[in-house]
Amino acid sequence: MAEAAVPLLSIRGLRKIYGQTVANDHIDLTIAAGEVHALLGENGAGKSTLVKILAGLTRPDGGTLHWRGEPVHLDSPKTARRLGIAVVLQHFALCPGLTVQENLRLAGLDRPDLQRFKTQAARYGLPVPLDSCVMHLSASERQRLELLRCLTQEAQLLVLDEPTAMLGPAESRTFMTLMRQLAAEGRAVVLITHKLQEVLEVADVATVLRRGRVVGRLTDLDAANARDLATMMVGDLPQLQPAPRTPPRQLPALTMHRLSTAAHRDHGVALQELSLTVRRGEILGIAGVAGNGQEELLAVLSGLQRTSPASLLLEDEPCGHLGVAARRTLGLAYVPSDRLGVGTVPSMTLAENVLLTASGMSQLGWVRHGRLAVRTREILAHFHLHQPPQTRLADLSGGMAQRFLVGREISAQPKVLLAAHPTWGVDVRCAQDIIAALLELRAKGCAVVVVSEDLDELFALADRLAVLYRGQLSPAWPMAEVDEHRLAQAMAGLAPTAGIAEHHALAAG
Amino acid sequence: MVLESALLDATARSATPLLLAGAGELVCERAGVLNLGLEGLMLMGAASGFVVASASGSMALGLATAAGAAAGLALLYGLLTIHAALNQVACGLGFVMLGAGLATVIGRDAPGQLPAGVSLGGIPWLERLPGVGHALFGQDVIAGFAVALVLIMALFWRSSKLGLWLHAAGDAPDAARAMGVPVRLVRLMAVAFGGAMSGLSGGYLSLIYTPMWQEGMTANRGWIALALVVFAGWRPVPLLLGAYLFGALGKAKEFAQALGLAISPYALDALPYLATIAVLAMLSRNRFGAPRALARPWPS
Repeated sequence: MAEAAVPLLSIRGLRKIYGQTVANDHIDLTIAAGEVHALLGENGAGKSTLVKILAGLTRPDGGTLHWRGEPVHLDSPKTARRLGIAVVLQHFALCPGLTVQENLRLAGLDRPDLQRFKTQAARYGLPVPLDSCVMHLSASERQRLELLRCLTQEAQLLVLDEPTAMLGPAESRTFMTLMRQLAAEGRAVVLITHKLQEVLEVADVATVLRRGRVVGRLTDLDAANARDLATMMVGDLPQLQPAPRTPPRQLPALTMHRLSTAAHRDHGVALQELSLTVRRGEILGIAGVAGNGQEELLAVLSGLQRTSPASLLLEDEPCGHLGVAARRTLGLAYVPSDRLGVGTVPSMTLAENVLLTASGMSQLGWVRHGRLAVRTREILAHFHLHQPPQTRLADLSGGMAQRFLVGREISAQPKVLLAAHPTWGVDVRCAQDIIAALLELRAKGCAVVVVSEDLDELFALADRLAVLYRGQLSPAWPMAEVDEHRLAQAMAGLAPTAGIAEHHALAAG
Repeated sequence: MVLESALLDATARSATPLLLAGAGELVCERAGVLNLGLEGLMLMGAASGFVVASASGSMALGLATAAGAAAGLALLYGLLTIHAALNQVACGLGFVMLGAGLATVIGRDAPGQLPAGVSLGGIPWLERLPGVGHALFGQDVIAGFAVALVLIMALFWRSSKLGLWLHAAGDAPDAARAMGVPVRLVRLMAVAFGGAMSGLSGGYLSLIYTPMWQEGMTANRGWIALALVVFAGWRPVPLLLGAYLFGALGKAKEFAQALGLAISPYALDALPYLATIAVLAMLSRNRFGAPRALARPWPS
């Protein structure tokens, strides 16, 4: 950790007010060259506002910024970039319709810069296909692109907003090594994240924000532990009670039988003969690095994509050929990963969002508003949310929207609940609420399938765990049999998966 | 040979207004702004261009006025839809009527026809080019200008900073802004350019094609130009081909006559409109190539 006499960036008394909300309130922050500085906080703690101010996208209402000791006004993205501040936003600042090269040119890279970009890519071992259209790149490729662009533009301060949110464990690890490397080169890295483990591994300093204020700072992170940081974030962390688990019942709730799909479009993954049974009262976790067929599996399980009838059974009803609505009637509920847009309609009210999936809410085509409001309030009350049913969904925070969505799906009393990283991008307390709700559902005899790239989430939930790799599914191991070694092998495709084993058996026979 | 040349001339004359208005709308839509008001802007250009040209006796001044007046009206549209973030469909339809109304007022006392001798003429050298020479450069410079404009656009489309700015503003305005692209300015300029081209297209109709001023004389060519942009998949070269295809359809009567076919002239006159409907129906199934942020108020 290099301690420069003059800090690279020092922020004093920063304020930003949106209408009635104080997003940033007297924030003091000092960032030195050569350090990885973690910025932690729950949803709505003011991290995003701070990031936008640093990017030059939003102007603060008060306070001062000093860059290498000189007062500066970050009045546009250009100014920030010229100083050497580079921000990689969570939703990348890329034009999906243009190629990688065109995006770089748009960001102001000339031909010689492009050459340096290639050199940097080789040096850091971050390959990016230059002629591909950005919409065909994976999340991690887009991130590499953004990062390399910042490095090519000689960024001295890199602000990374939730950089590992969409990366698998192996990719995250590589990424964290890279962050250390950048710090060792004398750059400063500001890491914004929810993941405490990451902070402990990679950061030199951690600053915790809560409700727009700095509530804590830990400089000697070796001595600190996750609990201290979590306590600062939440204020008080309720003791996590491992729910007493009853063994799953033997009755199958969801059966995949040689479930296969063709790869659709040029960048999709084909699912290859997945066979697995999920029993009632069981939570099955499906792990894997992003882009190994998760989207395809969710589509085919939820009914967004149809297959042959017998390849998927709900209890003992063949349902592979049925669409979403028919599967809902049979008792399937779905919490998609895109909670705004796929999971809900943001421009509609909470009650209307309940109406979209609920049955028995209309009579002769007329909406039964009283009944609907009661149901909506029940869903909200389950998670201690107090918004009136007429609130627009778009006005809920990310964590609230996710709890509402999970609550809505649970209220349908499903036989099988399908959930795609249900606690992604929500704060600690909200994640706990959702995990508790899913465990409660399990205890009632519902089968739950959780598809996620976040191992913490899977370990908190699953009874058995299977790994998806290049469209093939490993056997589902009981959690007692899952160790890091086995998991890492399966996720990297080293262990023989069910499909391969079968293939070998066929070849041998 | 004479017959072919005459047909080619006729096609170029009927394609040019479509090409001009289409090229303007293409730039405008690529930047993310849908301007449904083309028809109104064209009428505005037609009336103001005709009045100025007949009063001053200068064709060039007339055409410049046509482009300028429509660009001014388009700027107003831009301020309303980009800066005040009004609904682009409603606003665009409003501008069809506003443009038509203003054109009626402007052209109320217009003379029946242009004074004799008001003309741009061709380009002596280029008109002797074999094949398309006379069609593009022999009658008037505008036909050649329209083709050259679209070819230059194609050249700059994705290989110049300005071209990439257009794409970024229409595709991902948030990302573009984060990359330092002045999104609103790019959009406003694109809308103004679109307006100028529509106005020029209208001026071409009233000063060269017809030449006279009459209410509603654009005969829905603005709507055809809008369809052409979709037909072209928001790309310049297909726009050029499309405009000439539609231009040829517009001259179906002449073609039929030349070939000695006995088909009802009314049916032939309907061809471009039928083709527009067919193209729109076909392409609405596949929005490939459409700017992602087209017609969405921003910032949302």
